Amino acid sequence: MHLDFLGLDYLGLAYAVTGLVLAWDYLAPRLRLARARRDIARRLRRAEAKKVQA
Amino acid sequence: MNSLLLWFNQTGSPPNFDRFCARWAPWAWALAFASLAIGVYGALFAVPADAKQGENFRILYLHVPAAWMSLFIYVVMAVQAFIALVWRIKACEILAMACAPVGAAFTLITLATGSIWGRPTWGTWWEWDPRLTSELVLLFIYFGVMGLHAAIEDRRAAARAAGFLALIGMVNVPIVHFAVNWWNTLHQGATIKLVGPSTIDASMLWPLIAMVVGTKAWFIGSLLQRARAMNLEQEAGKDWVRGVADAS
Repeated sequence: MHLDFLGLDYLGLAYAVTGLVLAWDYLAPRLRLARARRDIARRLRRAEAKKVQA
Repeated sequence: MNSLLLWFNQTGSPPNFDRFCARWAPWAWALAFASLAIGVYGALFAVPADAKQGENFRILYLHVPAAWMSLFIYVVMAVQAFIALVWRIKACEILAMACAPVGAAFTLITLATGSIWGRPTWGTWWEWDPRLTSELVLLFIYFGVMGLHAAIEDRRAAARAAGFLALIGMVNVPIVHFAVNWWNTLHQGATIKLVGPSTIDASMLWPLIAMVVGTKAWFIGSLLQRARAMNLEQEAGKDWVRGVADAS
């Protein structure tokens, strides 16, 4: 059976949806971790710059 | 203090918790990718098509492990929330809240793949059947926990409130599990049983086992990755995070 409007059969659609959700679950925490580390590094740089100015 | 409690206390401190997550997450991901690759290969290419369902039965290699994970993760989240509420252990608060998006992802996969399988098999995308409806309620509870946690500014108060909601939501877990026994439903009963004979042929079982191992390992990898990010966000002002930021 084919979902003609998508060019996918049911099997392909199920695997594609699962792949998309798992891709989000894989990427989202990595991006969040990278952002947390970037924020910490930025805060540390600001603190260092303040120390130098003083 | 016995060695297990000592290990638990030591690992619960934020710097050690960060090191623990950083150390074990890559191993969990590696196991997850290897097991899922084997499972998907087996599901798509190795096992024969089902006599009645044809090729569409291969969807169940995604649906069944995801459904098990949706309940398993909820129980893990509730246990962590209980420990966090009773003993005020920060690492458990973080772990409980890190469970919610992973659980929601697996619940979404369960509902989506079930719906896609149901269309050619049952002739409908959706039915307000007790099993399907209670699984949808489970997704809403996951969303509720995530939403409540995001809505409160104080991170620890947010984790306590959302943890309390997670504990209340536990009432839905046995409803999802036993829905097929308690009511007349369109959804079939358990095919694989821990006690008693299973009704799946052995030649069709091994990819399912690989998928079950893969989804468990995926959960651990994603949980540790999310917990590490949340731990760093909460500890951003502390001295020990200097090393973590420098390492980036």
